[in-house]
Amino acid sequence: MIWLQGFLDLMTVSTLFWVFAGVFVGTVVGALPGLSATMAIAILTPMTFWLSPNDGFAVLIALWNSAIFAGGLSAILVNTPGTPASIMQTLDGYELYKQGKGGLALGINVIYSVMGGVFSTLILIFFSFPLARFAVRFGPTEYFALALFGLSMMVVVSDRSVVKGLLIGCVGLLLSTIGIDPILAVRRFTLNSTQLIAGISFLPVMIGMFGIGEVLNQIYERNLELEKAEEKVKLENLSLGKVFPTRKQARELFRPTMIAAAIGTLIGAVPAAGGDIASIVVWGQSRKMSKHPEEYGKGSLEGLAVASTANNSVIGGALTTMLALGIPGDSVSAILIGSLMMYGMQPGPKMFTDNQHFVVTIMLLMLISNALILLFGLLTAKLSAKVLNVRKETVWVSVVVLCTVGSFALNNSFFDVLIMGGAGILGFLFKRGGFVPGPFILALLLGGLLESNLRRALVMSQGSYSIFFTRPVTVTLLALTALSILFPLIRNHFFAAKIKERD
Amino acid sequence: MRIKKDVLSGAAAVCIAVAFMFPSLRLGVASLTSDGVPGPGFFPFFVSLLVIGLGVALILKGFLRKDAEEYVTFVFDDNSKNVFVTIAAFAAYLALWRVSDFFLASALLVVFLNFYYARSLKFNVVYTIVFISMVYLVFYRFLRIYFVI
Repeated sequence: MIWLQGFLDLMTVSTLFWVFAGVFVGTVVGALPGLSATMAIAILTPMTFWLSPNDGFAVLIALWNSAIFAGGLSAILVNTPGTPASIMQTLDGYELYKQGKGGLALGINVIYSVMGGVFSTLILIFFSFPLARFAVRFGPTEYFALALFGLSMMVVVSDRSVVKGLLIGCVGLLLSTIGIDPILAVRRFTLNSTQLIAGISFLPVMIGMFGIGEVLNQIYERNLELEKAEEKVKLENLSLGKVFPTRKQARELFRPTMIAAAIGTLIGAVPAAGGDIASIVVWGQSRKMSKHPEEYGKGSLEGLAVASTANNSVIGGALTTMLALGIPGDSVSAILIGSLMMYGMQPGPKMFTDNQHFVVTIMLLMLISNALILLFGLLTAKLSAKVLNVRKETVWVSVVVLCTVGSFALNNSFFDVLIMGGAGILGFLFKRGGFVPGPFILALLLGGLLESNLRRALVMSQGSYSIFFTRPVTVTLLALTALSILFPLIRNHFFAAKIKERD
Repeated sequence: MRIKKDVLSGAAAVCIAVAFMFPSLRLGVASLTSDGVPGPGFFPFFVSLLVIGLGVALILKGFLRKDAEEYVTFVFDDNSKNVFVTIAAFAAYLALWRVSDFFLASALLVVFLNFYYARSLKFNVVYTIVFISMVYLVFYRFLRIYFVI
């Protein structure tokens, strides 16, 4: 009954309009190299607070799904991934385009992106409820260990230098302590500023780092010769040919893409592992299992289909972790957690009891968005090349103004704009110093959860740390955390030469 | 003097950690009450210690590395000049917003950046009018965000 009610609630002109707006904006954003789904969602999230939760999430969910799908458009047409998640689609997609099968490559990208999205949504629907029921028994120790595990995974997957990842994560944790102490309500590190009492909000930081920081980095790394080469590719304007695969091709692609969807969803559910990692792992794995591995990288339909499936299937996996456990699966779900909190909802097992209706809404929005992407993507497959003509400077100027608007719109606060600007410059410096912003932002988000549960657990045990070693789930999560940090350190130490050679 | 990136980053992190560590001690690290609740300074103090440890590890790693690309290099080429100009324009934009109007400041920023990045006059005028009008209609009129500081 709740599903039918949820579906009927979404079948309003307003919600369907916002889903369409999300798909449209996501397609433009995803197709433009340099604009990522994270950047767009970070900028747009504050604006959605002015809409109802249903409409706000309609925009965000649709934008997320379509941006990941549309990343494949520029990967296919100009050999440049529109978003990091579409990196593997350049290998086969662009080759297909050069062979005069660009239309088919674009069609495969739409169909299998949607298939990945729908598959992972079904996993979300079937697995998040039991996972939330299991997690509802979690106490402070489990939440502490879970937050620590999420943070450690972000450190591990985000950078080869574990020390740098840990360092930047810990600096984020330090900054998360600014504001009111979560247990004793004492002011900390506020420098007598009333604006710092509520702490540093992570949304302006995210907007700054993924918006302004990314723009500054693109300006700094600009390579005019490379841009000229890309322009030349755009001018080639090869014929695209048919869009739909034949029945025989669809039959052959069914098995590898289903496996790709399953692996992609699983990778998405691991905190911090995103679409880029999923598509790399899945593409490599599929090549090993394929009947025609020699075609991979030379215009293989299967290679393109599995990469397209994998990066979109990550979304359902990331949402499973986010909704059921309250831990972000990647940067976008970190922003969505912030968004839910602004609407007065706390992601995690309690959301499945207190806001079950909205959990269902999010799941249905995933399905509706994917249906619309299929329709919109197939109808506009051949037109999508036009989007790629937007110049980088136009994107930079627009992003700078939209970041300012977005950060101000959060709380009508100029202070948030200053935080955003500072975070933008910091994000740029992080990149120049070889740091990735992921662990920093995740630590800023999870810092409160980590500290409050650590101290609550110590209250329960009268200050004894043994409480962390007596509960099976906590012990398992702490062991996994230790393993996830130690494994890359050991690997880097003993296999440094091999890794360098592989890179 | 040439400084390695890791050494500089590690030293910056240690400085941040020290800035948090001493106030944490003043806030109280140990339990202030009999129920075992650690003080407000407990968590930041231990995280500061961690940051100092990791910062020192990064500094040592920086000293031990021998590859030349790990040095902080600064070449004032076109790209770095563009970064500086963009940051300066953004700062001027925020300052202008404070003393005047958001839409005026935004329009001036857009005109300046388009001009700086060598867009044609026609494009600059059309883009500025269309983009700022869209921001006005969507955010000011539709979403009722008034941009008043």
